[in-house]
Amino acid sequence: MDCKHIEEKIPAYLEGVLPPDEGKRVEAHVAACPSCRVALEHLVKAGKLVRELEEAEPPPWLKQRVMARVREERERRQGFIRRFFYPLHIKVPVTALATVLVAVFAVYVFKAVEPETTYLRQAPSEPARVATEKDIPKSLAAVPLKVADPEERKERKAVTVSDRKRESEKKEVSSEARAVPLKPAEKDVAERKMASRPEAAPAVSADAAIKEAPVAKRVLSPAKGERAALGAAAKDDVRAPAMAAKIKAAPAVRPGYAFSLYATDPAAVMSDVEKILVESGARKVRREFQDGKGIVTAEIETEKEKEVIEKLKSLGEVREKDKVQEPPAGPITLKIEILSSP
Amino acid sequence: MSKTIEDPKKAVRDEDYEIILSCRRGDDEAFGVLVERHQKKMFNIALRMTGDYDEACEIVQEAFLAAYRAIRKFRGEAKFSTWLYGILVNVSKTRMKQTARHRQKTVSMDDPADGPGEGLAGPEASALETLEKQEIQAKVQHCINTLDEEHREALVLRDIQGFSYNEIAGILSVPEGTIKSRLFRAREAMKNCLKKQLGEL
Repeated sequence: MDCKHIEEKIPAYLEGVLPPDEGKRVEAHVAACPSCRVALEHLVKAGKLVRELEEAEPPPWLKQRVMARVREERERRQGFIRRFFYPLHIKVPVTALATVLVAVFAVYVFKAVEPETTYLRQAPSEPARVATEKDIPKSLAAVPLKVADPEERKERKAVTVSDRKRESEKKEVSSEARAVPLKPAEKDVAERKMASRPEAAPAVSADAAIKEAPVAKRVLSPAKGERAALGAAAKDDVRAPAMAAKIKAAPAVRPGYAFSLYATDPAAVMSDVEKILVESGARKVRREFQDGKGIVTAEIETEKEKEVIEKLKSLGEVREKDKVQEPPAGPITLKIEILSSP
Repeated sequence: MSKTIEDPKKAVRDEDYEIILSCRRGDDEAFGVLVERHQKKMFNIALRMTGDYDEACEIVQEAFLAAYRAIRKFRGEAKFSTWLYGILVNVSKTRMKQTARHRQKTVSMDDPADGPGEGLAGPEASALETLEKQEIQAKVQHCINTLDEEHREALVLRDIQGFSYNEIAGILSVPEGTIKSRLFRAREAMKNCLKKQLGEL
């Protein structure tokens, strides 16, 4: 091995990482070769000089500088978060999104409550339908009133002669009413007056009156009395003719019971409900099924009501929805809503 | 100067670990503890790598800031110090590349006046001794500056900072064998440079 090779090996030899035999060879060569010995000595000295480099102290402000920059960094990051959420170009979409969410929620709530509200809208307006639809001028009809379904129109065609007479009377009066249309507010007052009168409530609808003549008479009589009284009170009042028309049409107001029946299968239970009603001597049994909800309406004698309810209880949970206190004897409308049990 | 740091570092690792957890929770004061603990070594590595006091200060700041930003990425697979010094070495390399020309000017360390801020001698040393020592140290630094980047890293970390080969391999992400061969070449180059600079060793 020549000096060049040995010199190359010296650093590894000094580090003690040469294989033993190679280490021995380098050692032997260095002992014999003065130039290689000098090279080794120089290397040792150079290494010593390097290691003797003194450790420097960092400036005292170094840590403060570092920490100041760290704080800056944190603020910058937080600033970014703030910028992300608050500036106008972000805030506007956020507001818009919030508005949309509120709207969606409102619709959802409305949809959830709708079955209830639909019923509430239907139940009281139904009896007054005959009057409101035909006799009240269009300007008044703007008040939300349900348009009668075709079936009912058909029924109305089949009125008896006496009723036709009455109807023609009604038309006369209503033409008067048209001539002097009620202001919505006035109509409102009139309606409220009607609603507050307990005698008005038991009145039966015109078509019921046709078939149940004796009952209808009985029921209508208080209404007539009422009309007389009203007429006297408001003889020269422009409202009087319209009022009279309304009262005439008021037989539509009829006591009604509404129940909710919760069953596992509303569609299947519907026919059972129908059967029960027929067994209890119900008339005009009508059924409809919509959106997983069945509605059965029928007319039964008041005395039979309890019996029907008891029977319904065997089909599922029955909840009372709307009940007229102390109904008169005679037929009442029963509305059974069949819902799937929660 | 050379120290065996494996054993004390093992103890430090656990200490660092707790503090790192605090840092991750957003405790800036905890990060201050890490700075306090590592700044001296960081500064000395940077100083020997660059040979420039101000540049070393900048590098240390940048490296700490980079560590602060990336502390969530530290998995604890290696020692925190290893990870931190790795960042430091990378920052040094990047900065040195960026300021290569500038460095050529400032590292004329054969002029002894260039290295006054390094705390090279105590007040008890005589003026002559101080001057002589400063001169020698400046020349050593000059020789370090002439080394290739890879050789310099190996020399600074091993012969000046006294890290084990294993630790250096972790810091530089280079196999131990490679580090050794780089180190031997660095030492050889230092010897030749110093011989030239000092006339006789």
